Parts: sequence; C-alpha cells; structure tokens
Amino acid sequence: MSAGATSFSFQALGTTATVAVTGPEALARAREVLERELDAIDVACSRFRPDSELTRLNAASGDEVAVSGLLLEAVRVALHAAEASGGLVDPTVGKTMRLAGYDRPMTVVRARDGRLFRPSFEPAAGWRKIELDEARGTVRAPKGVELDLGATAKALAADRAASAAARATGAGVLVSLGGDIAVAGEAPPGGWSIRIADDHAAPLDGPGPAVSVHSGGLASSGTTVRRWATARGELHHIVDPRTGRPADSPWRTVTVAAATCVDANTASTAALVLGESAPAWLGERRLPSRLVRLDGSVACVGAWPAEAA
Amino acid sequence: MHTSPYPPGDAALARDAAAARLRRLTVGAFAGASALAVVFAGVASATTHHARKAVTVAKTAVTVTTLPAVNVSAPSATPPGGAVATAAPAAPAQTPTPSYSQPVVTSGGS
Repeated sequence: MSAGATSFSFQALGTTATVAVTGPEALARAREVLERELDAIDVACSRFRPDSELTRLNAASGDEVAVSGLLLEAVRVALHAAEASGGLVDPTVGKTMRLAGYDRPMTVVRARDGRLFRPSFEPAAGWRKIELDEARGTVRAPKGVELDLGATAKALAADRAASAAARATGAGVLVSLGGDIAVAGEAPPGGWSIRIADDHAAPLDGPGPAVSVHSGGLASSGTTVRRWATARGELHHIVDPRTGRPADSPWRTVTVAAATCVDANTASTAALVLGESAPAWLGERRLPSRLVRLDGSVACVGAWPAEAA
Repeated sequence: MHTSPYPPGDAALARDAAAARLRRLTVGAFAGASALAVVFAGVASATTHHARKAVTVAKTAVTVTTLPAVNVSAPSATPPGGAVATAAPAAPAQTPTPSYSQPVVTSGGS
C-alpha cells in the first residue's frame, strides 16, 4: 500500500466506497466526513429514491423546482460536463435509462428476469433545455425530460468528500467511489498507488498496471461491469445521448487522469461514447489516458505511463 | 264571327311564316352553341397542354433541389466546435507516474 496510508471500504451509492488517509489517526474522522457526504448526495441526486430531490424534480412536469444547494451544484456540474464534452455526457438521458430497464438500483435490476423485459430507447432531450437559476436556487426540466446525474454526481461526491476530509483531518486523503478517485491534501511519499483494471472490485494484487497520483482525480468508465439482461440481449449503462442506446464503443474501459474527479469522469465517459476518435480527443485536451479495446489491447494517450507490450 | 286580324286565307300564311322563323332561330341557336363548344374545346385543350408543361417543369425543379440533399453528410461524432470545446475537462497538475508500491485502491468500471 502507499507508504503510511491506511484505508476503509464499505458499500454506498450502489458501489464500493473507499477512504484512505496518510495517517491512521485521521481515518475515523475522514470516514465520518465521507459517510455524511454520501448520505447528502444520495438524498439530493438519487434517481431511485422516492424521497430524493431529483425524483421530485423529474416528476415536476416542466415546473420550476426550488432545490438544495447540493442539487443545484450537482446539476451545474452535470451541465458543465455536458458542455465540456460537446454533449457526449448528457444528464438528460434519464428517460432512456428508465426505458432501457435501469430504473432501480442495479442489484434489483439484476435480480429480476430480464428476458421478460423489452427495453426501448429514446435520444436524450438535450442538456441545453435544462434551466438553472443560480440566484433563485431553482431548476426546471421540460415536461417529459428526466435527469440522470449518476456519473457526475458520484465523481462530485468524491471531489467534495476528499477535500472536506483533508480539511477536517489535516491529512492527505483519497476517496474512491466505484473506482472514481479524488485525492486532496498532501499525498504520501511516492503518491497514491492505484491499480488499473476493468472492474474496480478487482483485487489490489490482481493483473494490470499501477500508477501513482499526487493530486486531482482519476476515473475509469467501462462497459463490462454494470450490465443487465433484457429480452433484446444484455445492455450496459454508458449511453450515447445521440441515440439513447448503450454506446457501441470499440473500448471496454477508459481511464483518465484530470484536475478533478469530475473532469476525469467526464472525459472517460465521453471517450467511451466517442469511439475510435477518443484518443485524439483526449490528446487534444492533454489528458493522460489509458484505453482498453474490446480485444484487450491497450492504447496510452499523452503523459500516461507507457506499458510493456 | 271572325276575330283574327288576318283574312281567313292569310291566317294560314302567317302561321307558316312564324313556323319558318322559329326553325331559323333554332338552327341559329344550335349553330352558335356548336361554335361555342368548338371554341371552349380549343381553350380547354390549350389549357391542358400548358398544365403538362408545368408538371414537367415542376418535376425538373424537384430533381434539381433534391440532388444536394443526397450529399448531406451524417452527423459527426466529433463534439460541436470541431476541436477543443471552450469548457474542456482540465488536465491534472501532475501526470500519473508508474507505481511499484502496493496499490491502495483499484480504478475500473463499476
């Protein structure tokens, strides 16, 4: 493990949450900060909780809704990600996600007989249709438009929790939510060591390269883990907003390092949707990246450490 | 008692003359109607001929305006704006380096 670091993992937001700190005395406090952040983001941004703010917003039928500061920030971040990715990462894919069968937590979706479910798809309504009023603290989505903040909200939670825990403890902190990682404070000597794999739940001593990160964020998006069965075959959750269908990508996993976890997640998701031109797109933005093709071959972009063939 | 303005012999002549006028009027009316029918048929024929020309022109116009549409390219997968968007994901302050120590966490799909 990274020199002197200690960590704790638990299940949250339908995935694995891990907090690591540079000094063992900071772990309990850092864990507390992370748990509080995850509770808050779940209440604000969950698409599956009937009592969440996002559920209320999606049911507002075009009415303007007053929202908490956290949901306002999450929507702002999602819209920024949409703009930064040229619309490749679009929060208005909520409806097609639901129509495709991803309308419950993934454990519930996988537990039902998918062969009996006939999915349908609908192109995203378009992120520019979402109205966000910062001054009044309101959001309006046109009638029939449903938001899914899944990817960016998780990354936002990692960024927020890492910063808050570092401030609260004075230690260096790493927060990982399903493999979307944010670090804050002073990193351990040599940096935070992170294994790269197709599945964030892969063992730490499993195959795959390891890289060292000192600041910012690192995120992986993939099509091999979050999958479910339907009458039209197996689907995955990385949606192409232009078609509303699971992206037909030549890549199975894309990992990106960026200034924040949100930026890394935005870029890795956009790259999967973009397809063959993803390496050029990432290179133009100087984002160190690692892309794994469906056949397992690897392409490294920019300053990502080269790997032996 | 005889009440006709004509003498009894002239009454038959007057009736014959009236019948002859009626026949001439009928023939004239028939001839006029026939002439008008010919005129209208000509007009109708001419009008139909022009309409065919218009259809031909219209078809030509459709062909001309349709051709460019065939060459419209499919939507590009490249984000709007072509190159780097104005609000692009920001690069890290420090790039990742190879690590040889035990990892603290795994990054991958979830």
